[in-house]
Amino acid sequence: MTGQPLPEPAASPTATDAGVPSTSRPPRPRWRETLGLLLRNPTAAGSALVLLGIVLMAIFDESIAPSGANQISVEDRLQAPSWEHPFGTDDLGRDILSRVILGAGVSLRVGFLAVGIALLIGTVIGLLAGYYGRWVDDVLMRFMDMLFAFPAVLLAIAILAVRGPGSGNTALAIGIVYVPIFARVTRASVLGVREEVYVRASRSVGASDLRLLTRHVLPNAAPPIIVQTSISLAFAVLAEAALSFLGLGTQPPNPSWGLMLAEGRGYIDLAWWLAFFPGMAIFLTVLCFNLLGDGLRDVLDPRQRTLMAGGGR
Amino acid sequence: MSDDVLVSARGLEVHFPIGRGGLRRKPAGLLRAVDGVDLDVLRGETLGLVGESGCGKSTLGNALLRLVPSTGGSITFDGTDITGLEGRGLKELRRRAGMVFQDPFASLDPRRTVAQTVAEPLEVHGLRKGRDKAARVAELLELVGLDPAVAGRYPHEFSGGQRQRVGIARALAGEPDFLVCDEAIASLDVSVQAQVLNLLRRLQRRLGLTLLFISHDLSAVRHISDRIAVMYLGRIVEIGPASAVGSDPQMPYTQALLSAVPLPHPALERQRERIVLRGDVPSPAAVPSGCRFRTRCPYVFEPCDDVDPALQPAGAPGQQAACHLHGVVGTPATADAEGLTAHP
Repeated sequence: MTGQPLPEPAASPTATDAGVPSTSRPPRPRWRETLGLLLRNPTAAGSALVLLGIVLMAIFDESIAPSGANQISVEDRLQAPSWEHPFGTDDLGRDILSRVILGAGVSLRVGFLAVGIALLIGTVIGLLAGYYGRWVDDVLMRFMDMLFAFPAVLLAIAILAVRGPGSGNTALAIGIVYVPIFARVTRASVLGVREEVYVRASRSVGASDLRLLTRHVLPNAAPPIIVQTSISLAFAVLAEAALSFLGLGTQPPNPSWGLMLAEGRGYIDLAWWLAFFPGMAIFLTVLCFNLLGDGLRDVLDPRQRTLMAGGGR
Repeated sequence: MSDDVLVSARGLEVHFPIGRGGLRRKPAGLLRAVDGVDLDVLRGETLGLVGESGCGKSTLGNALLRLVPSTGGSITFDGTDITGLEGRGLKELRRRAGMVFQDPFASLDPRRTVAQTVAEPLEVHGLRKGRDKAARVAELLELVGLDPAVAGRYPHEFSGGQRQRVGIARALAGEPDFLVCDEAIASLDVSVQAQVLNLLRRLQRRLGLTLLFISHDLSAVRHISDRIAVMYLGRIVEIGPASAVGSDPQMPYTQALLSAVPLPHPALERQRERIVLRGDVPSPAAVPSGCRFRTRCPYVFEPCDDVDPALQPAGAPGQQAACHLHGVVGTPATADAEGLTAHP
């Protein structure tokens, strides 16, 4: 196991501490070790599997869905779940299962896009603020505080009000709302890492700030950011649902889980399946992202990692 | 300045503001980590720098390499004033002057392989590329006594001594003239300390390095150094040939320091007379007036309160001590202290 230091060949008096057993196996890259540990955690592995299924479903939605998203069939309206329509039909006779499958793409696309925007901008801001400190930190983080001070949904509504509704703008709005979260998480992590001796050591051999930031600070500050990403994906899917529910996100008749939830609300006591299945889809996705985030946090914590690596064999 | 001086400091000061906070960020006080140091490191020598924790020896080492900003005085490297060096010049200084850090567990990036760590100076300064780079890394690893086959491994797979060797290989990659070893053996096991110490000595001879060996361990410093400088509260208080400072110290502080070193022979150890200093080191935020050692000195007398002693020749040739016992030389703290005469 790579977790333990190699024993020192101190037995012979002439031995230096330099000899390393020559049974040299190719070192396993860190990410593979991380992935291996992650998959040993049944909860995280299960979540990853379910998420993989959802993503595959979103990619191949057209070929999986039994019927089109907007295939109206008036005589089949408000049908309870049956063999023909496993998730039932809505008030226009559209197949709910098909709409949940086709809505996955919309929900996930908005989620990934939003988190992508937040990750990119927030990480750069946090990196600069944490590394340079002083006035750079003051200016950037006060700006982030301003963004933070707005209630998230209100800010998203304001952005959508200016740019108009639609899934692209929804992703942008959610992304902007999440920027300060990533900036904060990154900054906090960078504050710790930048004081590390190995950063000073690299500076002492002449490494530039850019090199220090990209080769040393960011990789070592990454674990909390990765965890935040997985958690934010869950929240972004929820936020998309909320904004679509309010009529600002995805526009009908396009399917999106949040929008379907909103549309199903009016029929909740008449036909529960309208809201139930998209609701379950959101629930499952968010739950899996959260559990995966928890698993990642454990695996990326060096102390936990040593415990897991040691106890696992 | 003579040709055989590689690094030199004149009146070097590193003061840190303390108690900074709030919106105005006005310092509440000043911590004098390095407070007026004059030091010449000769080309090709090993200069040992000793002193207790917090005396500013690490800060001095860092300041000489421009890793900590100095707040006063000047630093010269190979005849060039590097005090305010920026950009290209500073980068070249980083190549020519390296550092070996105390904690080998903290000084290597855990996410980079040994090869990546050792190759960093080569990449930064564009010294070697591709196949040449790998060959040079292997050569460096061999130079510090590591098997080049370990290049692809990560730091956590190594012991402390092995990691320190990696740290030394990195410091040597740019073919520096000057190496600062900041407590480079302090966090190693005793058996490994000797190995690393001997490695450093061997490398110094082989590569013609100039070494500043910072340590609180006087025996290690005596073992490796040509000259020894003793630091107390931000100031060099004694400097001279290792044999002289190590056996016949002229400054009461060095005498106390030396008397604390245990002797390997039991009979000698029983006879060893220890000078136990009273009290603690004063805070570098509140340095005493006059001689900064006077609060703990067993020989304190009249001028010590007022006159800040300068280094003056004492004892063996080349030995200097900042102590009024060898004659009152220095800066009076107040104007009315001018009337003082030299002590016989």
